[in-house]
Amino acid sequence: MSEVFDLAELAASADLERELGRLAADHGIIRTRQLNQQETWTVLSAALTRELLSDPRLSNDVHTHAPHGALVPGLQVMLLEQDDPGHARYRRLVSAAFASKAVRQLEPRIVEVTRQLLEKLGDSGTVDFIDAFTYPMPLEVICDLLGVPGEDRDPFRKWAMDISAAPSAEAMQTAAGELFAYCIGLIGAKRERPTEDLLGELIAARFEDGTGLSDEELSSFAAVLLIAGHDTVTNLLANALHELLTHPEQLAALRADRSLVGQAVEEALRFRGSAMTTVNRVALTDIEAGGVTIREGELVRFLLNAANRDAEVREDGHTFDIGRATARHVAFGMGPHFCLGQRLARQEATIALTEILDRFPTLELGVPAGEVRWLASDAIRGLEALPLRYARETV
Amino acid sequence: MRITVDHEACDGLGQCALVAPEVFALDDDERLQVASDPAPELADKVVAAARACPVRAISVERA
Ligand code: SF4
Repeated sequence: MSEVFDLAELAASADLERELGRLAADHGIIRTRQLNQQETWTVLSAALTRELLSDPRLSNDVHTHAPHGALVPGLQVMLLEQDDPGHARYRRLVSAAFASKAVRQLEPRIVEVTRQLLEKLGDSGTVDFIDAFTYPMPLEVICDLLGVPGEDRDPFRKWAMDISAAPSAEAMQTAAGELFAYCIGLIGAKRERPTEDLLGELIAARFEDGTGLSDEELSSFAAVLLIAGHDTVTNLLANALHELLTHPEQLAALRADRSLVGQAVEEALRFRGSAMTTVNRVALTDIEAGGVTIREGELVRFLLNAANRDAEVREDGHTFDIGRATARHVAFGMGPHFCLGQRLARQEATIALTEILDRFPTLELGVPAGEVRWLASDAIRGLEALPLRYARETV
Repeated sequence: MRITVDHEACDGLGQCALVAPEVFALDDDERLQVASDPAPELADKVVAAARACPVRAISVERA
């Protein structure tokens, strides 16, 4: 197969997932072109995804092994672009903050932020829910967690959008540079005046040999978390609401039995996860996979949204069904780089959906289904806007 | 084969259990349970499971 696909172009269609399902049936792996015009291999099938995501012959250290493949130089030096043992060493240092106990402690604050934002909406109206809720909620939470002062939070949306759904490679690099510079400044300020937030703790944290993290490592980690920690949740929430509202029988089932909310979140993750693709991997040697040869030095990424609909795993993968018995999806990846923040994301989504349904017995799309517009991004799956009509009481 | 788990480091994510469910399972408290005497032919799977662990909490010595 010699065709090269442009994921960002495909993504602009609501039918992307079905299109990918068709492709995946014929090829477990395809050629794609990414934003900076680089060609990569893209893995589609569930079986290859599971196999290759834990394969040590694929390295995350694009920095060293394929510098041309690093989309955002300087930004991803810490967790994303490291292999073991370095990666595991870092991960152990920071994972406590994202373990289940620590995340449960954030619950009251997540509820508070959620209620405040919903309160602002008033009793009824029509708004873009992304603007009014699904964007600011996770941003507040991740900024609180890291210790980003309230007055600094405004430019983040532009940076985040420009990094994850950038119109061009240049826009992405400019935004990443600005964000990185901001984080360097923030770390400097916290070194002078220690704080008790996550960044404060990481500045003080020490490896077993007594060394700590450098400013560059800390800033890179902070920048990655700020992007990964809110953009994905913003779109996860918006996609989940969109799916529920375009599948009224599923929404009714959830309204009737609210204990299904966790399953609804899992199904939203499976059906149209917001982290559509992983960051690039690079082949350390020639690898035979799915009938092709990935040559040493070539880039590989994983289209998680395709694997989650793979007909080999589920015949009815294109059906949105919150009644599914906890389908094992790969929306958070797998293996050594399994999403560090998955518990936080799940908790934010569960709380937000619960509070929204509690507050608004009437909730519907503010535009005809099919008229919503999808972001043309090769990394993030999400909507440009989600206009919703809501009312506290049914009129 | 000898399997050692660093329970301090283990974060209860269950990535190992996805790769080798015959050997690894999480109980209700997200504590990792390891089968006591896995069949030798599972060795490759156990090594792959250890590799899948994000925090390297599992070490394996092949017999
Ligand atoms: S993969 Fe690692 S952290 Fe996760 S349950 Fe297994 S041992 Fe624990």
